Amino acid sequence: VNGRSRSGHSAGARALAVLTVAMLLVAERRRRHGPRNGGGGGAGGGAAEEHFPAAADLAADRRFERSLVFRQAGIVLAIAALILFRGLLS
Amino acid sequence: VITALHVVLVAMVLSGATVLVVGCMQFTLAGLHVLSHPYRNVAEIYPNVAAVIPAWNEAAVLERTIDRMLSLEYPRGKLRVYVVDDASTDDTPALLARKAAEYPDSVVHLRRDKGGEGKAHTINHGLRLILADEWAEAILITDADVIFTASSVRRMARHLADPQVGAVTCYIKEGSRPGNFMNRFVGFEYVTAQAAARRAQNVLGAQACLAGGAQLLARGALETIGGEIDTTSLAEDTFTTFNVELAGYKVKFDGNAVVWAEEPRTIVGLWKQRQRWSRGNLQVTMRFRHVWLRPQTKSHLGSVPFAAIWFSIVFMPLFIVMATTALVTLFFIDRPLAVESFRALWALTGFTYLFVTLSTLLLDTETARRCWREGLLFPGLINLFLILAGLFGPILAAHFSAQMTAVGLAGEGLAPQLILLAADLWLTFAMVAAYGVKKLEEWGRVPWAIAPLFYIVGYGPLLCTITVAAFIQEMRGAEMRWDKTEKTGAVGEFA
Repeated sequence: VNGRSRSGHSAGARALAVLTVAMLLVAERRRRHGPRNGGGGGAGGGAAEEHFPAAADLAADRRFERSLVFRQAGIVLAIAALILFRGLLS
Repeated sequence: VITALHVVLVAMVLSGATVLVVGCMQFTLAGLHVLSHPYRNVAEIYPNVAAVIPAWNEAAVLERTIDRMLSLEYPRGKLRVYVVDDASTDDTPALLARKAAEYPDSVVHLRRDKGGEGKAHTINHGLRLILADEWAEAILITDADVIFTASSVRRMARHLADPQVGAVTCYIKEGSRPGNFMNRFVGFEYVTAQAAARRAQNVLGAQACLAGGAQLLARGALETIGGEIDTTSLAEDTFTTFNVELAGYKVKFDGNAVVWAEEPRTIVGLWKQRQRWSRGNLQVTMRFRHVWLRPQTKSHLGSVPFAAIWFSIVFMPLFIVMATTALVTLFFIDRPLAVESFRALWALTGFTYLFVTLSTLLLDTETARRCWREGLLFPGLINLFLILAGLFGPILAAHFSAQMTAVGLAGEGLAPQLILLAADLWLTFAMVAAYGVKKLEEWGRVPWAIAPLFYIVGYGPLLCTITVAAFIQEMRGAEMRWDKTEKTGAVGEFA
């Protein structure tokens, strides 16, 4: 790899790494507001009142599914950065 | 000179990465799950649910399962538990009598005096009685050891608001606490095989299998397929799934509805369970041969991507043996091409392994915290080393050529050639080694060596070996035995 393409690779790898971190942060932010799947359910739990947080759960589930897009995009970018990094080393 | 033979051999080599490449496709689709609008047609509904639990000598786990089920976030009186006691000889009948008295309107004890016909017959006994009555609007088929999280059933039920949805399944997680190495491998595998693969199948519009421990069927769909499940195979849950879809209903997976189950703790236990599943899959493959790669109006089971997912697993050992055969052939007829093909295979495997493993770890971070070591070592330590060689071989060789030459591992000597040949053979030999570790565990003399050896050989090769064993059993027409997975009630408390 000559100097010019090596520096191109290097800048590309850095940019991809930054994008990866950004994507994963977005995904993590969405995940934190993700589904509540706790055990609960014991005596005196939600069943007694029969008012279940169905709407809140649905909103959380939708947010979690949206977060997957960013997570997968982050991973693709990370691997692309690795490929560039590998090219940089060879 | 590159001949047609060379091209064929290189293609055969690359076929060794088929499962991982298809895995990448599934994870890509799983990431796009939201684009298939999985929650577009859901609504807060609470149909009358009849939960069917087949039980044979399940006293150790049943009490907690029933208590848990009747304290779910589901309206009182709208969930009944029907335990079909398959002529148990332990304390199950007494326990069920006690529970029926404790929950008089919610627990029904159905006793079969003549048992031993298998799980499917036991479930059908319950289904016949449930469907004879108008009360049930949905039927939940589950297992005695499955622990439902509080919101799981209502999260599944919301999909039945769409009359086109005939069945719903959820995310079964490995819940043994304290778990051992095998539980953690299974825990990691379930993120891939359920949380990711089933989201991908939602996107494709065709589910391969309602998880046996959590199948919520709309009454209409169950009646359309005859009101009972298949009793002629070892994969009654997959048969139900295919039949419901071929009847024109949709089958949905809800990855945010979670249940916990206890999975095998030993290689032998896993072997029995997975051999049953693999044989069942072969039976499904043959019984539904008119479906494969034939587009249909009612379902997407005949689509090319779905077939790719299905057959990449069914024929996984075949691809691996093909790759090894091609690598060894190239080794003897064209050494440089053999080296390049080897590197290409393992580099491809490496990138797909990274994608699949990172995706799995990030899809379920709770499981990742517990099982990340098993996730990284899923292919086995030796395969991991070969992946590194494929990804960074030339770089490492350039940096360490002097040292490698000094110890005889580089150059034209016999040792490097033998190492290359051994590396070529390892893909298939790993399956033999996995079988060897299983035999070692059966032998029982060196229990301390099992886990370390298993980490070296890997979980993936063991699954390949089990598939081969299932093929052999199926071709021999071996008796179809339902080897019950022993449950201890070790599923932990999950806050």
